Amino acid sequence: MKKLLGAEIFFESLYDLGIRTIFGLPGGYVLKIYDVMPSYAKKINHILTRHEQAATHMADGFSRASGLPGIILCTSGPAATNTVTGISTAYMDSVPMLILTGQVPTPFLGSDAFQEADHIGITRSTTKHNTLVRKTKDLPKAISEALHIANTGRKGPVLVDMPKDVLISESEYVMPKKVSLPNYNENPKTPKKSLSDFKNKLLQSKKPLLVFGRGSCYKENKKNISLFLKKYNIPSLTSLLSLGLVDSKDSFGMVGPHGSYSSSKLLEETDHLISVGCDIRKILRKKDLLKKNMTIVDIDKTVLDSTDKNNLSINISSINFIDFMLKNIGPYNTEWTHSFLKGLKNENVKKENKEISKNKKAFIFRKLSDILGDDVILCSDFSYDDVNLQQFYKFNDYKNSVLSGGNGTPGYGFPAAIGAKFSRPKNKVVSISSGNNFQFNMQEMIVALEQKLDLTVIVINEKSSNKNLKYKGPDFKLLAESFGAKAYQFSFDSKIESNLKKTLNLKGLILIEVIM
Amino acid sequence: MRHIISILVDNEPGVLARVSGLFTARGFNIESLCVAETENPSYSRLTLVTSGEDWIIDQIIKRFENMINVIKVVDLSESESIQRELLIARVIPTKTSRSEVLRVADIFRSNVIDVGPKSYALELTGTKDKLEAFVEILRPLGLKEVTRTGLVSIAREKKK
Repeated sequence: MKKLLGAEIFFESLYDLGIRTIFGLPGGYVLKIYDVMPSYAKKINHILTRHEQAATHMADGFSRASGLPGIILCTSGPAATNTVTGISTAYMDSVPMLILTGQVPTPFLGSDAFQEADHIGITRSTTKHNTLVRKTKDLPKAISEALHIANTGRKGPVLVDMPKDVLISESEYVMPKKVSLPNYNENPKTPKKSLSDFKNKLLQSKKPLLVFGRGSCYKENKKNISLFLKKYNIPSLTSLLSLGLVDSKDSFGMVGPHGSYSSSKLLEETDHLISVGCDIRKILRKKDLLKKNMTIVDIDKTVLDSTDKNNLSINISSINFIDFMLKNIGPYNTEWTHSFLKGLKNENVKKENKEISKNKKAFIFRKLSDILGDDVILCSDFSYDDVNLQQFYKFNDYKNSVLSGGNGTPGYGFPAAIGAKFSRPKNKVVSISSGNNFQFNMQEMIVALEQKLDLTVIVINEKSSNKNLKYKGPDFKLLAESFGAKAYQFSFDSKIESNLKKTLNLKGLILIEVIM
Repeated sequence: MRHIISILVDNEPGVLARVSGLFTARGFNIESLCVAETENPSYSRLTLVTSGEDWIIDQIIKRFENMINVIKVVDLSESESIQRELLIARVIPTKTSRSEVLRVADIFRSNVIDVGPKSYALELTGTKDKLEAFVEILRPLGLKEVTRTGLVSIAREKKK
């Protein structure tokens, strides 16, 4: 068998595992990979980013918009430490991601060599798993295992550290036929009793309420959920990360302290809260959950609650659980009345409209939704001033909401939008950030221009509400133009809607600065 | 509450750091820790003793179970398992206490594993309490230094 370089084995493995797009930046210890890259250019598309943090967010956005794993390639030391924020973001929100880092040659490990950092140690607490490859022949096995771990069970980022000598020495390329991880259990065995217990508990409850989290965001579930909700007339809520899982016209909005009006009303009323793939105890205040009758369903045992006897915990994948609910719950009538639910929806619309008339940013989110309609991927990051305004955008597919949740990463939205565009090039992609957040990763505008992406970036330029910060944003229009993008500057006035309408559908990289 | 957690892990570098990292992340102290290869050389057994609220320990155990390198985790309760520790003590007795040291060693069924012109090295296996009692009695007799393994534990056979 012909011997290949470690760097060639790297590409062969990725290609055989179905990877077609990687995001990355070259550097000392991965130069061999970039040396051989031209001969793999037709097989694997490498997107050159300008910062490793942005590369991880791009891979993250790529993954959220498509469901495929995102891949990052970078070198050791500063590059690897730059990825930590992005890895952490993905870990918090269970996004499948593979981070491939270069490392100093194995004989120099731990010697404070040039650009050395202990990647395994640094990322141990922010990855699902990480591993160091010591021999070239082990590379295919390590990459396939890492990808399998990242993309199954409760998904998450996995890091593979590749020392330089592994990449420059030769070996035969043998991809193991099957991933064998005897200790890794991707699909938990669920005792039948817990499912029948759940059925009994549901049939006894008068006003059940379903809450779906990111753990339920699978294409198999989307259809089954809407069938189930229609069949039994049970109201449902979603978390920030699963906005769009339930169609906006059927959903009662987002759960949580910053959630919708109807969510808190429903929480008050319900006598059986069913949380599917959602870390509900992290989202809701303890006070709200006190003495609540709950069923917690999750693939990850750590989310379950075994201490409270009132709660039923089921360790099962959401796909199997929703399938079970749809097929096994016989005739059952809840005590939710049609008029109550309808009234709640109307009241919710009223409250939302009130918020929109008051809050300029909420207004922009709603207007975007009205102008753009479905099939638009919206990417946004955490805002310091107003939390969770993304809920004012009416999502109809969870794959269209690309938002940083648990980690609340500033500067996430824009690079994630670039990644999302690569995964679904036909869809329109819009990123919306506040001025301070946009500045975290604004250098990536050059990537969007280089790759000739059609991307709309909305930057909300406002003075900080904190007077002590003395924050003043740059002129984003001039900034974008200096990169070579088309840019527009509007102030928030009566013409804002028509101005947005005129500019939102332009081609190329468009930056729209809205001055509040 | 005190917990004895027995963890079967892959015998690989970095696994100990992964396990102990979970304790550091929560600000917990590990009271004792003992790691060694098992009858199967590809696995190691890690026995650790810690104290904490039950629900936090429960969380930590679930996290252990999620780790790729962890095969099995058991929270051994003190009544349903046997625990042993090993101690080696160096004693430099005075002229008058030389025979007394040997007598004490005899009472505790401790072995003399090294003898020099000035000192003895004594070995003792037993429960934590027994080892502590031994140390206290040796202290006035010229105890110089003590080294102890962590606690190791195995579950008792289930009563029918």
